[in-house]
Amino acid sequence: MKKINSSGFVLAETLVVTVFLMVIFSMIYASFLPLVGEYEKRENYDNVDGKYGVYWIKRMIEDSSYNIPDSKSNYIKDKGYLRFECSDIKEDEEKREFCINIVKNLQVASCDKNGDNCEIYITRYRLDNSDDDSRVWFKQAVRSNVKNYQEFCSGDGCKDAYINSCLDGAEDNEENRAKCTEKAEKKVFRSGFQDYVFNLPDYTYESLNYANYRVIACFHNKKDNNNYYSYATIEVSR
Amino acid sequence: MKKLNNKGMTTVEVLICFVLVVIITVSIYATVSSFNEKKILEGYKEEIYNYKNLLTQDIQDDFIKIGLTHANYERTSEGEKVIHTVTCTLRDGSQRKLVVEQLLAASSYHIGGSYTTDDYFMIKYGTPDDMIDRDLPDLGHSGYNPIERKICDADDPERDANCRLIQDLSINNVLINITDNNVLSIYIGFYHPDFGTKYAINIVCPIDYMSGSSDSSSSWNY
Repeated sequence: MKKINSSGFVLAETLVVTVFLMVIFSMIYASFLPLVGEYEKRENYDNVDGKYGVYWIKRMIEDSSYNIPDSKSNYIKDKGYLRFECSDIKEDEEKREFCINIVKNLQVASCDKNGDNCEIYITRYRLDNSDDDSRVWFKQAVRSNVKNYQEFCSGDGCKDAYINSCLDGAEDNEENRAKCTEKAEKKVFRSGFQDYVFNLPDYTYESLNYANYRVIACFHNKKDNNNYYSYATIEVSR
Repeated sequence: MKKLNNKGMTTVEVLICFVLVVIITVSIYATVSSFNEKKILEGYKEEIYNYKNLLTQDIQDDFIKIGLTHANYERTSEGEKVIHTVTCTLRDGSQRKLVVEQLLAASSYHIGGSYTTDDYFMIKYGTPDDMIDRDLPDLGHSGYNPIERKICDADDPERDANCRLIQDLSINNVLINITDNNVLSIYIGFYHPDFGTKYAINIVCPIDYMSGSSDSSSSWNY
């Protein structure tokens, strides 16, 4: 008669199987955990406050008092974007003051006291197009993410020029110079902003409202000891 | 006759297996229960979002669709209750009123809280003749002893007589500002023990903003 092996598992076999199962469970858990973080990050994408915030920025951009200066006219084509700055509202002083006030109240990130240098980007309606290399698309610009001093300048002397303009009005001492140098070396787009932009679709199809441009803004929520960024976008018809 | 192996496992082997099973069960339980807690908090978040989004949408819809031409802010008090009133006049001549009532009491949770009376929070919005109460969502309760100034177990039947329930979600900070350049800014910050002060109603709107719409001659081609 055939001899049946009925001795069962030995301890070593049980241990090996247990360890194997634990490794598998750990791997599943480790791959599942980032999804929770990803979800929490998206909580601050295009929320209601951000949408109404960019709506008022869109209204200022669509207003006839705002025009892109000639010196920046090729930015959208060549750089993929243009920063919306209150100082570009040149003819209507009241609307410029209003602009400064509204970007301050909306807590737009990185704005200076003149409502300039804010993290408000005007781009083409479509964000990426791999078939068209005749222009730079916004997602390409965000992907390449140059340093601040290289944003709108190329060649030698850009860094010094950036530091000098950063020092403009402030005392030229070692501390201020170190701060400006650090700012010059920083990347233009923060990593949270990059995540947001890559999360957006390319907007391949034309806008239903025939909009050719869009505005993307970053808000730095600081009230009540908060310290977090939120992002929103809306189309612009000009 | 065939000799059967009927020795079984030794005590040490059984113990080791038992310990392993316990470790795995405990770790799985901790993970699952933390997710359960997360699920409850996500439900709370959803309620806060629903509340703030609906109110923000109601107010901003009036401001955007009709247009805000004038705003007036008044801060009054009734006893310990602070009442913030924003009266808005819209372009069609109608009025909208936003009232935020805040009575901070009996908790160390609230900035500037006192310890003498019950907490009370209410937001009302509508036309002056038809104000609609917007009760804060009920997002759990905690026990608080205002005499000893510490958190207590309100579910304990033998609790101190001073230990009472307080709502976890409260209005923490109200900042309303009308700038010289005609921008109305309304910030109603909430506090919840699990979320801190992250959630708030944040409304910014220009007053009497007449946009000069761009015509075809000023359209872009970049």
